[in-house]
Amino acid sequence: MYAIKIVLIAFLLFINIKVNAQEELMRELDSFPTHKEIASTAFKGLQICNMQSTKLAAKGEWYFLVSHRFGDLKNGINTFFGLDEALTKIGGIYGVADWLSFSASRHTYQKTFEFAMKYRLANQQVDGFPLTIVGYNTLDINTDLDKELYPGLKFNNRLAFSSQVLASRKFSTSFSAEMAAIVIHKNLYDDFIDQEKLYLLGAGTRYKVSKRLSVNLEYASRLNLNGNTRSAFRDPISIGLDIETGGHVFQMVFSNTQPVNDVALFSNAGGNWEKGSVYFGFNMYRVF
Amino acid sequence: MTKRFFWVFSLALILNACDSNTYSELEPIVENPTYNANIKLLIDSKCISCHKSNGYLPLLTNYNAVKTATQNGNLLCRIKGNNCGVMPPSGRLPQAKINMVDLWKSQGYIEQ
Repeated sequence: MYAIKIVLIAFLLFINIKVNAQEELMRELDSFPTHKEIASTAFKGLQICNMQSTKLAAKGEWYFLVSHRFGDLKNGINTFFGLDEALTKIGGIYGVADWLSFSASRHTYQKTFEFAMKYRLANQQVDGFPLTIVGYNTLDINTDLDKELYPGLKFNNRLAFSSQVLASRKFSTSFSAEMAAIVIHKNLYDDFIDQEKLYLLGAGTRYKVSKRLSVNLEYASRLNLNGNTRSAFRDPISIGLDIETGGHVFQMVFSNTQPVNDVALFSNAGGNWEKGSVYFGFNMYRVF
Repeated sequence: MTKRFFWVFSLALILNACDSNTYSELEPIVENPTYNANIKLLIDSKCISCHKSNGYLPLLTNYNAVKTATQNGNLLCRIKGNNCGVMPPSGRLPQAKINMVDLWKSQGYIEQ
């Protein structure tokens, strides 16, 4: 765990050095440097494992998405390694422009409807700007809350948000890395084990093993924990495998978080890698 | 481009500035939970759509069934999700509700 944090900080420092000339960025963006070629995307999938990558749907593209996470592997044959306790998210993504896309999905976890917006702010260029910077915002509506159980419930209480800034760099044809700054806000939270606002610093990498296969890793460190949340949940750590099968990307994921909506995956990772409490699942993207 | 930065960050700011509540604020903590007043409401809302006749075991359709599942079965273990898979599948209950079932057990499964 300590080693991961050091790598994270080293990577952050690297990014700081690269982008400390903020004016340079603005000058470049305003002056349309037409001679500069845009580097190819750092990630193959729209997600690294659970976290978003800096890739967006192209203009006019429709994506159909199914994310499935089985239950805890630790429970073994009793639940057939989580088959009996699976969560599924189903949704769609539409690229309004090359730099802007919207998505909507429904997740079995808390019967959540998730609406998201992804927008690119800067592109990595060949011999130019070093990073691709993307913003991502999600809005969750928890429709599992029951007015009979919670008489004081207002519609506002059903909402939760995540706001993320993602910065990625493609270092070579086979290696890409991403850093993410994430804020989670919940309009309703469990005061025993949770908190209203959570700030995270995340990192993800992709290493291409062969033409159709890559290994992905991601981690997010929670920065402002109070005592309750520290013990109830963990920092999300995931490892995944991208398999490209012509027309769609299939991602296999092992993670200590079962829900896949951004709010819950960053703040409510209930599994524990050290104790073998891990969830297996997959994301499947189909492009139209 | 500067404009795009501006509206995107303003929107992000607005989305994160909402007021928050806790579950305890929406429903005060129950000191003396009874089956009829508290437990049944929770079971009916969260469990009974599956745990009924022709559904999954254990049945949680009446006082005796719920009492038996808590006393002899693993109802508490399942809703706590410690070493059993967590129930309900749509996500762990708020801690206050789990504590309420715990309290109902320790006070001797009061019905009325």
